[in-house]
Amino acid sequence: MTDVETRLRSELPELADSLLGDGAAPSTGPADAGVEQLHLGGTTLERERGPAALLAVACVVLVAMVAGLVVWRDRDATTGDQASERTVVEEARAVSPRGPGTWRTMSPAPIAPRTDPVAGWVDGEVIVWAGESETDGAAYDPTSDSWRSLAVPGWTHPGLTGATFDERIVALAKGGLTAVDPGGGEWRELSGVDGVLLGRLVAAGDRLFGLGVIERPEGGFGLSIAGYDAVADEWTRGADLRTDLLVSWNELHDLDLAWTGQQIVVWDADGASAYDPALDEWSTLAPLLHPDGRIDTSVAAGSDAGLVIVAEVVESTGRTSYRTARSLSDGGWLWSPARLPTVDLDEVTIAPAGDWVVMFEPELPPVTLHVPSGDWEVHLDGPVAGLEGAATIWTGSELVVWGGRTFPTATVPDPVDGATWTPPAERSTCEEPADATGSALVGESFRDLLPTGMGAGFVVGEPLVLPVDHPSFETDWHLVAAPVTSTNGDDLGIGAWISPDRIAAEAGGGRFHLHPANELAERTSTWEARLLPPDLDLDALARSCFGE
Amino acid sequence: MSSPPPSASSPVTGDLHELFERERAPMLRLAVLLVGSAQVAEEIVQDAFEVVGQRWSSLERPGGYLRVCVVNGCRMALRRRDLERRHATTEVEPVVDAPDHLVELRDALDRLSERQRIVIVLRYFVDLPDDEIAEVLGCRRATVRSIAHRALGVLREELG
Repeated sequence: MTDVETRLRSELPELADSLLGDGAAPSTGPADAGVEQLHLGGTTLERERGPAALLAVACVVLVAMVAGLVVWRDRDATTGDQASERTVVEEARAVSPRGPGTWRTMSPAPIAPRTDPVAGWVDGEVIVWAGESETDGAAYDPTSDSWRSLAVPGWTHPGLTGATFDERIVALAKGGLTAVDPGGGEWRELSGVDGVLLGRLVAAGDRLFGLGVIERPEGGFGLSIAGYDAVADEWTRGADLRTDLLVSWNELHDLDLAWTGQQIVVWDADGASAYDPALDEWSTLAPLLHPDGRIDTSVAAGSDAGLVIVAEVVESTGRTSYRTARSLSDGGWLWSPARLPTVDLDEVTIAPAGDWVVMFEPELPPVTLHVPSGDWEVHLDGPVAGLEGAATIWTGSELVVWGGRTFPTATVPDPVDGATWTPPAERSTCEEPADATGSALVGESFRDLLPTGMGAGFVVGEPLVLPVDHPSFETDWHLVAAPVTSTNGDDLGIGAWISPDRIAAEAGGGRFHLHPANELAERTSTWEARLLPPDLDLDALARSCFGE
Repeated sequence: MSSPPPSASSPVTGDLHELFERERAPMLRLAVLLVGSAQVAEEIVQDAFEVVGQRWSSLERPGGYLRVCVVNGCRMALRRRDLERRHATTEVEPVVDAPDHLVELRDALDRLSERQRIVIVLRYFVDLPDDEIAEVLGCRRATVRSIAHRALGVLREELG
C-alpha cells in the first residue's frame, strides 16, 4: 500500500466527520450493505445522459464542419535530452472529407458476447476466447463472414489476460503462463522468466513480449520486459525499466501498452517510456504538453502512423476538452485541433486500424480518427454504438469489433454481436500523380482567398499558384501555397486547392492529397486551408507534385 | 436534522426504520465525502431513504440499493455543481474549519473527476472491493481499476 492509500484510509473518516461538523453522527463506520442488483438510479442517469451526449456530438460535428479550416502551427520547438519536446498544434480541423468508410454487421457468433476476451488474428481468422465470466471461444473468418467454435479447454485464473502468437492462444495470469492451439488440444504450460512476475503480454509484429514486475534490491518494484522464443520455449530478458509507475503487480494492468511498429510504449499519465526491441533499450518519451491548458488524463494506442494519445485537456478557461496527439519522428507531438466527442477516458477503447484509430465509448457512437491528418468522423449510423470492453482486431484491411456490452439507451440501437469497419480508400498523393502537370505562376491576391478572419494576425507572403491539370478535377483547379508569418513571429506556410468556386486542402503527414471534385460537391460553401509546417519547401513540393 | 421517512408502525416500516437508524450515519459520511457539503449530503441521504421506502417491498437488499441511491444522488449533485462552477464568474471557496492536512485532502479530492472521487471514497472509505464498486457505477471491474489508478496519480501529485 502506498503512502497516499494509507493516508486515504486514515484521513477520509476524519475528513467526513470534519465536513459534517456538529451534525455528524457517531462514527459507526461504513455500511456493509452488499450491492443491490437493480441499478435503478444508475440506469436512469445513464438514460438521461444518452440524448444529451449525442446532441453534444452533433454540435461538435456541426461546429467542426462550419469551421472548415485547417491550421498547423509550430511552436515551442525545443529539444530535450532524450526526445524532442516539440509541440505542434493543429487548429480547427474540418470533418474528414475522406468519407466514413464502410460498416458491415457480422453474422452471429456461436458463443455469447462478453467483455474483455482474449482476441487476436491467427491464420486468417479472428480468435476470441474467454473474457469476463466465460471460458469458451470461437473463430471468425471475415472473408466468408462465418464462425466456428473452438475446442479449447477452459483455463481460468484470476487476472487472466492473453494474446495470440505463433498461431496459438497464449494465456497469462498470476497462476501461470500457458498456450493452446485454437484448433484444439490441451493447454501447454510455458516457461516463465526468472525473477520476473509477468503480468502483460504484447504482440509486437511477429514477436511476443511479456512485461512483468521485478522487486528492486533497494525496495519497491520495477518493470522488466522479455521476448519469447517459441521454438526454444525460452524467454530472453531485456533491459529493465527503472520506473516509479508501479507499486504493485496489479497496477501493471492499469498501464496502456501500445506497439507502434518500432517500439513498445508503456503509457501512464505520470510518464511514458518506450522499449525498442532492436536496441534492447528504454527511452523516455517527451512530456505531453498542450499549450491551451493542463492535461488531466490520457490514454494511448499504437497505429501504423505512430503513437496516438487521447488526452483530457483542462483549458485555461476551465473548459475540458478531449484532444488527440500523435508522436512525431523527432519525438515531439502533433496535436490535432479536433475536440473529440468523448466524455470519459476511463471507459474509452481505442482500437488501432492501420493509419486510423477507432474509439468506442459507452453511450456514444464510434469515432474514427485518421492519424496522419487528424481527420475524424462520428459514426452515427454504424451498427455498433456505445460499446465497452469489446474485442477489436485489425486484420490489415478491416477492423473487427465483437462483443463488449452496451448501456441500453433510447439513442443507442440494440447491440449486434459484432461488426467490421473498413476505412475509406486513401486518395492519391503528390508522390503518385504521374498524370498531373502544371507550371508555377506567381501573382494573384492570395489574401482574398482566405476566409473571413483568417487574414487577421497573419502576414501572407507572395503565393505560388499552380494550375492543376489532373483527370480527377472536372474544372480549373490551382494549388496555392504561400509563406505566412503570424504577428507573434511564428513562421507558417499555407496551402490550398482552389477552383473558381471551391477551395479544399489536405496535407497530412507532409503530403498533399488530391481531392476528386465530385467528392467536394457538397462542400462548395466551405473554405478549407491548411497552414503548413514552416520547414516545408513549397517550391520542392510543387515540383514533386506537378513537375516543371 | 432530518427525521426517518416513515413511522415505524408496521413490520415493513419497522425494518425501514431500523435501516435508517443503522445506515443513516454511514451514508451521510459517504455522501459528504463525495459532495463536500453537509447540507447537500443530508438532502441526498434523505431522498435516498425516501426512494428506498417507496420500493421497499421489491428490494432484496435494501442496504445495497440505498448505497446506489446515495452515490447516484451525489453524482447528480456533483454535476449540478460542475455546471454552476462553469457559469460562475467567481469561485467561492467553501469554508472548512479543519486542520491543514484535512483541508489539503479535501482540496485534493476536489481535483478528481466525479467518477474518480466516487471510486476513491468507495474503495478507501467504504472499503468496497472493486467488483462491487463496478456494480455501483455500472461499469467493468477493469474500469474501476483504471479509474482508481488515475485518481491515485492525481492524489500523489496533489498530496505528494
